[in-house]
Amino acid sequence: MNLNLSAQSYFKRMFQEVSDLKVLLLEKETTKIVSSSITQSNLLEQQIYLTVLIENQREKLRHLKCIAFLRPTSQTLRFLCEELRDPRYSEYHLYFTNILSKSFLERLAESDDFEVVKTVQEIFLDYLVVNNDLASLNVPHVIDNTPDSWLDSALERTQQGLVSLLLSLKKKPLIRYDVNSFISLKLAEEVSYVMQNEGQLFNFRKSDTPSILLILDRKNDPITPLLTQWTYQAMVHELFGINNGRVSFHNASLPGETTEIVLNPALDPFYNEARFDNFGELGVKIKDYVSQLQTKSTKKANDIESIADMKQFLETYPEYRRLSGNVNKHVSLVSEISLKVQQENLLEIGEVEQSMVCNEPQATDFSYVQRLVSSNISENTKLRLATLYALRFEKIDPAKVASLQGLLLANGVSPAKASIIPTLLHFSGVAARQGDIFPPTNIFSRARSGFKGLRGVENVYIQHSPFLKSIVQDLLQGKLKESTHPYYNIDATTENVHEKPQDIIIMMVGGATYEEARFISEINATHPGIRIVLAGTTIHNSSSYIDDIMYMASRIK
Amino acid sequence: MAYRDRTGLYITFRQSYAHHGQKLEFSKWDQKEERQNLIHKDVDDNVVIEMDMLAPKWVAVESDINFLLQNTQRNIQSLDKQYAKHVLPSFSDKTEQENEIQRLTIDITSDFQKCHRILQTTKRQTKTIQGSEALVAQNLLANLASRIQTESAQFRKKQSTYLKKLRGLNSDFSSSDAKLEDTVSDVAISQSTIQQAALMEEQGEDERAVQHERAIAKIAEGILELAQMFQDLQGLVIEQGALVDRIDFNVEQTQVHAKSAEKELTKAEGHQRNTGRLRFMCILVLIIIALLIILIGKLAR
Repeated sequence: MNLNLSAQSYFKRMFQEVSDLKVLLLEKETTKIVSSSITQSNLLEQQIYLTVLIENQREKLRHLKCIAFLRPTSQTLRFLCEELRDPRYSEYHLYFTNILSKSFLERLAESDDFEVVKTVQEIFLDYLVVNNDLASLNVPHVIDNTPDSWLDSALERTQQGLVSLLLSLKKKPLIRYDVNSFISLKLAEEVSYVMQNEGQLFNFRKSDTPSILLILDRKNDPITPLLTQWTYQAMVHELFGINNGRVSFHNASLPGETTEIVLNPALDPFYNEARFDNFGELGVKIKDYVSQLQTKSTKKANDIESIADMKQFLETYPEYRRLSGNVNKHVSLVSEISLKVQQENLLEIGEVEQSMVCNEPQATDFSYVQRLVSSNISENTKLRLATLYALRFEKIDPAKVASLQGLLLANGVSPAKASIIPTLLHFSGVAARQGDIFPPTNIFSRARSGFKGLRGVENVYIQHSPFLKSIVQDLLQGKLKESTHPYYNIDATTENVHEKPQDIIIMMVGGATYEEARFISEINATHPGIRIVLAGTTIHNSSSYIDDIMYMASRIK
Repeated sequence: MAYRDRTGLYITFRQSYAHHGQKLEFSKWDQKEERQNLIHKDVDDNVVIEMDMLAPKWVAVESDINFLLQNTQRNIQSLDKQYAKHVLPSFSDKTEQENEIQRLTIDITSDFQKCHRILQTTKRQTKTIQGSEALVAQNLLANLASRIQTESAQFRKKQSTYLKKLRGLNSDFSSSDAKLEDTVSDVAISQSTIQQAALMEEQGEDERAVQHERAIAKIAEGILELAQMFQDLQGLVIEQGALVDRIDFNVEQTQVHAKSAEKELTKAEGHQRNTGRLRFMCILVLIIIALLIILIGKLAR
């Protein structure tokens, strides 16, 4: 269950069938998919010397053979029919990212006057590969005008993405879902329908223990996307935003310019190693990385006498250049992060957040929030603090929660943004959630958390563990209750469902986060035999989550 | 990694449509068979050959270079064997082996240089190409350049370890670190080797030793030449893992280029119109000057 490997083998399949000069025909969505797992040099190695978009004006180059990688949508079909009536290339090998309907094939065949189409295949890669065990469907908003209704387009895209994910992993899982979430149920329904309808496709060898598809709703854990992040990948996403592996930020050493870099764990060994490290560990690692480069360059300085030699050496040797380029990239990124941490006073904010979310509610929390909101930090940070307080104290201190909006407005937060607090409480307040995202307040559990305190918390900034953790731990031990996460459409008493599952696919409707992804990777690394893949309709950071809530607020009206 | 091939079903569908079966090449040709010519003529009876079906000439470089690289790979393999034999201690005469090594080395080096030359000429040839074809050419060259680079780097690495052994240098450094070391130091070693050969000749050492040293220097020169070539190729190669290696980035760039190319074209059209006018004015000025000269000549007489 390695997403990267499965994507690679799909592309291998696509590219090696035709040997000759080739052109790759894509559309906007599939360009993202291709870019998430392979590179331009991979294409060149396969003699693909041109990459074009189907929606663009293109010249005729009939000495090239065309490999098309497209999503089976009606728009694509229209473009493709036009293309086939007046072919620009000599042959067409069509690869679609999902299940094709008969009518789609028929319309295509009807337009193929010159019989230029040589292959038509379905390969199931209808999602973005983020990490080996993390996929994104790139759907920013899922909810229509009530918390229980899907946006039609989002439901269709999510169902397609999820079905292709299952097919690419060769799984026909049992489905479990959040019982309090109607949109999870709806998705379970759709996916289950496709699995039954396409029985032939889903005819995989049965494993000893059935694999599980767990469909969860973001509304049950609104905390995780709002917290300040302290591990590398999550931090970069929180502070600058990782957009399908690309990050752009303002570099302090080059004022007025944006630097754009690529972060791909498959291509960047340092990033692959350091992406789950916390900020402190990261500092140490990056220092080692720099000194590694330094020793390499001083050694050379002995071999090579003059500065001119040195310069020549630097320019000539790609291996060294790649290393120094990569060191440079990470150093500037980390220094930019630490600048942001200072500017936004994130150390203090992080501490307040963590104590609010992980400890007993305290009366002093409000004064902390009040002081920080009135200090010189960005609008979104103020908003994050206030929403976290609101979620925590919704029932404990409603009066103060009600006063938050006024506090935000008084400190320069725009009314549109300040008004997300009631929306958020409506969508995922105590009444809308199931399960405990905060430590419970009864005596027994307090004793348990006391134990936790004794064992010692290593780092105050990463005390919080996502709600997903407790769900997955229960699931792995076979303890996840059917009252909260029922099976879809099977009689639990007849099937052997009470065994501990080994292969799990988690679909987070409403967006996953890198904090959750880190936790999943941790389980995959430490539990041999257990394989989990996390997928999100999108990968949230706090600002994209706040945008999502604002979007919901605008739909409700 | 499930997949499903729908080609069979698709072809069944396609066969059910009667109007199919035209060949792409003949698409615009006269359908009446009796009147069909071997070369197509359009409405005004002008000969028309669809040029876009034919691959441009420079595409052939790929197979040329493939051939050369395969050749070098074979040569490198036999060179490996010779190296292995040569470094083994023995009392027999090694001149023949040395000659063989030298021959192979020269062959390989010259093949690499041939590749390099072909690439350079193609680069010049393809400079004038416009549009997508230019991109195809550029990418093709990048791919070939990076392949030549990796091949030649490997070759250089092997040679420099061999050279080190011959020169009695310690070549047993830890192999984990050696990867980067080797590519870096081969230039330095080669340079010092050549210097040494020259030095020995000056000092009038014994004939055999000088010859031996000269042979080694020959190899060293080859390495240096390849290092130079390597640097030349660097400009063509895509840096892996960088932004330029992103597929989406390249697609975006193409779109930007297409737009700016369009602008350039309109500008060029404007220029062309202007140059017509300019040429006319130039001719007028020249005529005036000529007339003036005639006039002055007449007056002077």
